[in-house]
Amino acid sequence: MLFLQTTPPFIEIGARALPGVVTTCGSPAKDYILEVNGGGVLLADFDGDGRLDLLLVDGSTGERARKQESGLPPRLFLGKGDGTFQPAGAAWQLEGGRFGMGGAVGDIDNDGWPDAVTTQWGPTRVIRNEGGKGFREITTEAGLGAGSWGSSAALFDADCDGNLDLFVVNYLDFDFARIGSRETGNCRWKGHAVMCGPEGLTPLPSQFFRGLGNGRFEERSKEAGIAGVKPGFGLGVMVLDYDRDGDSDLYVANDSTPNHLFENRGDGTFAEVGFARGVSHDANGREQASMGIACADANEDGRDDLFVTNFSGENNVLYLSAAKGLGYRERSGQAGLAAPSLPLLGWGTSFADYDLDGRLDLFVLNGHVYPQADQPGTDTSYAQADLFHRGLEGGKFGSAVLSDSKPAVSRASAVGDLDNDGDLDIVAVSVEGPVRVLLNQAAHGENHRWLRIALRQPGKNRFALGARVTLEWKDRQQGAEIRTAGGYQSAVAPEVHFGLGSRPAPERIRVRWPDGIEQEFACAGLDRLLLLERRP
Amino acid sequence: MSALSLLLAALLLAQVPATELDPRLLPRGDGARWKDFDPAKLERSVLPAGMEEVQRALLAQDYPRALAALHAVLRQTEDFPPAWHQLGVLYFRLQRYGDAVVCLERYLELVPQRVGDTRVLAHGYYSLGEYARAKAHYERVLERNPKELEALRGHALACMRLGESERALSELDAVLALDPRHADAATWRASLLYDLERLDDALAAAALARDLDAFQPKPWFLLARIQADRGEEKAAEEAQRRFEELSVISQELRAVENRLLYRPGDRLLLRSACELHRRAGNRTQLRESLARLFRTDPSSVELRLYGLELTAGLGDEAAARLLAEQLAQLAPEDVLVWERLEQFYASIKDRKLQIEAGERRLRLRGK
Repeated sequence: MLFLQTTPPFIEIGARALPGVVTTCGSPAKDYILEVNGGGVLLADFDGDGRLDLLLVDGSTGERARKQESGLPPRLFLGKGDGTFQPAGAAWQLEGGRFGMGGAVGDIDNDGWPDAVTTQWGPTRVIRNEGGKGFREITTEAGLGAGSWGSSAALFDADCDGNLDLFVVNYLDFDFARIGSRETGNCRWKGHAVMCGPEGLTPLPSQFFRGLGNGRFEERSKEAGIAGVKPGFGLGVMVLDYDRDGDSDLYVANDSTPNHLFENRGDGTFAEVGFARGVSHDANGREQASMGIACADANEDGRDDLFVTNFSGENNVLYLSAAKGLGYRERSGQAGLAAPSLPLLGWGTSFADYDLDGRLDLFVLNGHVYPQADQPGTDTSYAQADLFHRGLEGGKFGSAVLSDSKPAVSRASAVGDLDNDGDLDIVAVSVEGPVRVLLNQAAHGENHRWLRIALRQPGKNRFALGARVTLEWKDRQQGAEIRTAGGYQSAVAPEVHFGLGSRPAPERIRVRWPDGIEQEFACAGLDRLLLLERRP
Repeated sequence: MSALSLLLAALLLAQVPATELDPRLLPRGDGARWKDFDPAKLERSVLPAGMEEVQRALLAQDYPRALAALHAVLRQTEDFPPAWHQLGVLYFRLQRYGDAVVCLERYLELVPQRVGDTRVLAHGYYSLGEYARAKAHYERVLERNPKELEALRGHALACMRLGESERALSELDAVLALDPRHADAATWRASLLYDLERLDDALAAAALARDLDAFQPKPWFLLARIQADRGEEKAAEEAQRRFEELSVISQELRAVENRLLYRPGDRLLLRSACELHRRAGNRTQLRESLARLFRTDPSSVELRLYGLELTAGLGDEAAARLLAEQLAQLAPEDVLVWERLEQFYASIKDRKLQIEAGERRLRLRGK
């Protein structure tokens, strides 16, 4: 494996960025599986000031959860534009739910403001953005309210009607009364007594809700072909148009069960094709304990590739689109991404050109689920270093420690330009404890060019989720899709980021809007945020 | 080591669960007295007292007990190479690869001339993702034992992980030349060929791998993938179906076997293993799992009745007949056993034994 000798590319400024802000996920002893997945992080410009804000989805304590008392509320922190945040005022405050996990961001009522959906052990919640002035929970009005244990969620336009639809990934059927604890459940890992699950427990199917465009949803899991699929222990979700047919497909990372690829038939109904496309198992035919998903066109063939984080003892998996057909091949080892991940348990991850050298990089947040990982003989540890995989020549990656922060028990992450300097920063949630903000220390200048591109279109789906932006030069193309799904219990801003290295400005920028119409735009310059508005 | 000091060491260790014993904390030995060490020529008189307990525990597959016993031996006799070797191999079996590496490196510190014994050390490096180190160590082992099958196979896999696909292929070919029935080598060969997009070769290799071990999911997985890529949809779907059946069973089996490592005599787990092999239709593995189950109570009639149920249900007449004979010997006066035997012989249409069993049942009932 190639370990780079380098100073960490990110520095941790959590104490300054989010002073005293912590999340809770049950007890530190982790007696139950409910207590191990951590909270969620949703990035969006909720107040419309041009700076990214952070909606933090928090959990609960085991004691409150047992008594069915409300958990800790999701909290909004307004970005100051320099990587730091301040608590939002009373208008943005929300009630505690049951036991929060993650969520999704999107404009569900077509008013031009990003709304939020949060998942939890309990009913999925819908939170309306009141014109950038505050939040209002509209779960009941929205037609949701039932639910079990949602982990990740995605807002996207499945049926191409312009209204955002909702996909909720569910984990498992959890009940304190029925599931043994670490002490009573007789569950072992490497000989050590640990919390029970997910093996032996009941996975729950994902759910699909058709958006009506006014903040309301109708469950259509059965009609969409989601309910009939053999469920997995769902944890992560990614929206991508994997087959380049113009509609949005879904990839779901399942824990200890085969991963799913839901191919959109173009009308908001889906066929599960994970096995057929080679992304359900690793190259050995083993289902893995998958958590997070990163997605980008890593091999620059015009189709998005997938990277999935997995349990310790299993390597993280890179699926590259095959040269022929619509399938994928696992290329983790060849890319140098397998060996470094073997002792680690990966969660949040994302592709981007973090060092602005013109090649995609990756990071992975790590942390074990068992505190017992610190016992002898486990070949791993509870707190772990987060890794940065720098893109090298020939499709390979070199690995280094991500940041100067101490090893942590990391979970979800979201990426965005928090300090508006043109490189991408990271918010990292741990299973419990302080929320970390990792500021990118990339060099800037003539060999480190970049572009951020956001789209706007009139009417529905104003942020153009599902559109594809392609930078075109004579000898090269670089494309990316507008999405807010963050891969694992997280959401990101609806924009794309390109690192260009020393490349000149692209000759043109091609946008394929969500309805399939293509338009070309001139590039007004580099090192800037371009807001491209759809022409009539 | 005196019996008293061994007892003290054992008492001390009993306070710590075997799983929490850390080999790094064991004292380092000096290899001065082992310059000519050859395990085959080891005399009984030099064996530390605790090694008999180690052997008993290993024979009983009671790994936690074997761990504790080996730690006790090495606390007292830290320079005894076979104990380090045994402990390394045991840790590897328990999937504690870092610990396995520590022990086998200590073994080599004591007896560097015995590098040929340490392919498991290379397996350990490999399992930790240290492929270059694994490859180098396999090469050291192969220098001593060029035809060491598992070292050759391991070397091939390390080469594969390091991107040396052609070399890995030729080494897997060498394994198969030495042992044409090596199912695992055949499976990896198919996997590599598929990876190299040599679909025709990969298909033939995967079919061979499946024929060598039809109960492993991976050959079916490869067949399904390769056939799908070749556009042979129907065959691909059939292979996928079988793969999915075997994959579920294999995952459950791994979970059961992992638990059995630490609870070797757990009959519930052993029964689960038997059930899973029955579900897969794997007669050989069912026989082996039943043998493990019977070892927990060699005279149990109930366990043999259970075994008869499973083997007969799977159509393994030879194994079922053997169990029927054992039952007749173990419970000659048990009317229920003879009733079951009568049914069994009827089911396989062995009229002579069916009648004999029926008469025996009637005689016993008459008593």
